Amino acid sequence: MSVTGFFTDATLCIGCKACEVACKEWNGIPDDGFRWSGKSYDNTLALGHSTWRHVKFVERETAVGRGGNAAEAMTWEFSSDVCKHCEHAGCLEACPTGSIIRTEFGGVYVQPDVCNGCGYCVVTCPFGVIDREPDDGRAFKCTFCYDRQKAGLQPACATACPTGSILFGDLATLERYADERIARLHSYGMTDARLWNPKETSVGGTHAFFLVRGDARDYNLPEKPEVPTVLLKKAWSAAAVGAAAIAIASLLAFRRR
Amino acid sequence: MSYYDQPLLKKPVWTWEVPLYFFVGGAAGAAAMIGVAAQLGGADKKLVRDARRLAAGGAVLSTPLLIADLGRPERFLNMLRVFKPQSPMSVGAWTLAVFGGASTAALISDAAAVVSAATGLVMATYTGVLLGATAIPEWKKHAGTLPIHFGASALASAASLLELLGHDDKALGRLASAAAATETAIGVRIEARGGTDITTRIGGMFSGPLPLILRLIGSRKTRQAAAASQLLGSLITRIAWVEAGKKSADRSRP
Repeated sequence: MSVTGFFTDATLCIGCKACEVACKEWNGIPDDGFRWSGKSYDNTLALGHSTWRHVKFVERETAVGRGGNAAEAMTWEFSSDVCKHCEHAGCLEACPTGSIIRTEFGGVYVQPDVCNGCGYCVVTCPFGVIDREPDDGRAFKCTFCYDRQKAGLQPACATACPTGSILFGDLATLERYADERIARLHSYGMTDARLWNPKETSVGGTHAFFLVRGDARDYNLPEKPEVPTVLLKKAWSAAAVGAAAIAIASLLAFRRR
Repeated sequence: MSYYDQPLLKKPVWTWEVPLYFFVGGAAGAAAMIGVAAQLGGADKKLVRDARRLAAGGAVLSTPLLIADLGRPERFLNMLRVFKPQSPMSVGAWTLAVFGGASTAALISDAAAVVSAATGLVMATYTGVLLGATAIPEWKKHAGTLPIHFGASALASAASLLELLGHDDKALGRLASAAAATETAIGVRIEARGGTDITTRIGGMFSGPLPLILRLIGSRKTRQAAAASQLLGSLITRIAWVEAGKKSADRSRP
C-alpha cells in the first residue's frame, strides 16, 4: 500500500470550485451557511466542519513577473485548500478516544463512530482545519476520501478537477513531479512560484502540499507551523514542579512540631 | 500578509463547563493532598474528614461537567477506550477516573486516600498542560507557566474552601499564603512576558496580591476575606484563560 498525497498547484487553478462540489456530493456534507462574504468569489473563507475543500481567491497588488504588464490593478490567483494530512498530526496525537487514526494510505482519518466531540483536536490543529459541527456534536474534516481510496479510486476533488490543479497519487512521485514543475515554472520566468510543504518544522511535512506564488501567508499558509506535542515536555515538567510543590508545601504546613 | 485577515486557527469550542471543571477538579485534587498531609501531621480529625469529603464531592461534580461539554455526551466512555500518554486529554480522563474512585473510597479507607492524593496532584496541574500543549498562541506561549499557575490556584481554592467551612487552622493559612505569594510571582512573570487581557488580570489580582495583603494583616476576618478572594480568583482565572484562548485564536494569522 503506497503512501498517497495531494499536490495542489495554484498556477493551474481556475477557481471553478468543482472540487468543493464534488467533495460535498461524495461525502454528503451539509451546506456551509449560504453567507455572502463580499471577499472576492469566496463565501466560505476557510476550511471547516462542512468545508473540506476550500478554494481561495487571492487578490494582490501586481508585482514584477506577476500581472506586471496587465491593465488590471490587481492579480487574482486561486488555490484549493484542504486538510494537510500532516506527517506529525496535532489532532491525531491529541485525540483521547483514538477516533483519529493514520490510514494505510498515510492519511489522517476521523472515525465518526468513535468521536465523542471533546473538541481537543480543534485546538491542536496548527492549520485551523478540523472543527466541531455544532448540531451533530462530532468533529469533521477531509477524510482523504478513505472510502474511495479503499476502492482503488481517486478522491472526489482530484477526480473532478478539470485543469489538473489537484493531483492525487503516490506521495514520493508527486513530490518529484512538484520539483520538476517548479523548475519548469522558474525556467518560464515565473520565479516567485514556490512549494509549500513544512518539512523542516516539527510538523515534518504534509501529505497535501501546495505550489503557490509569492508569500504563502497570502494563502493563509503559515511559514513555521508547530505540532503541539513539542510543547508536552515543557508543560509536563512544569506540572511536575507544581505537583511536587503542592505536596511538599502541604506536608510542611501540617508537619508535627 | 494574510488571507482577507481571516484567522489561521479555529476557536476552542469549549463552553462554561470546561473552566468550571478546571476549578472544581483542581480544588478537589488539592483537597485530597491536604487531607493526607493533615492526617500525617496529626491535625484535627474533622479537617481530615472535610478535606476528603471535598475531594470526593469535587470528583463527583467534575464528571458530569466534563460529560456535558462533549458534543456526544453518551460516548463519554470512549475516553477510556485507549490510553494515550501523548494526549493530555487522555491522561486527564484516566486521572479523573482513578481519582474519582480513589477519592470516594478514601471516605472509608486510608490507603485509598494516598492514591486519591497522588492522582489529585495530577488533577490540580494537568489542566495547565491541556491548555499549554495546543496550537492556540496565548496558551502555548505560557505552556511552562500554566500548569504551575493552575496548581497554585487549585491549592489556594482547596485551602480557602476548608477555611470557609470553619477550619481556622494555621496550616491552611500558611498554604493559602504560599499559594497567594506564588500567584503574585506568576502574575509578575506573565506581565513581564507581555501580559494577557483584563479578565486574567482581575483573576490574578484576586488570587495573588489582594489575598496576600489580607493574610499578612492576619486577623480572622481578613483571613476569611482572603479565602473568599482566593476562591473567586481561582474561578475567574480558569474562565479567563479559556476565554483568552478563544480571543487568541481569533487574532491568529499565518
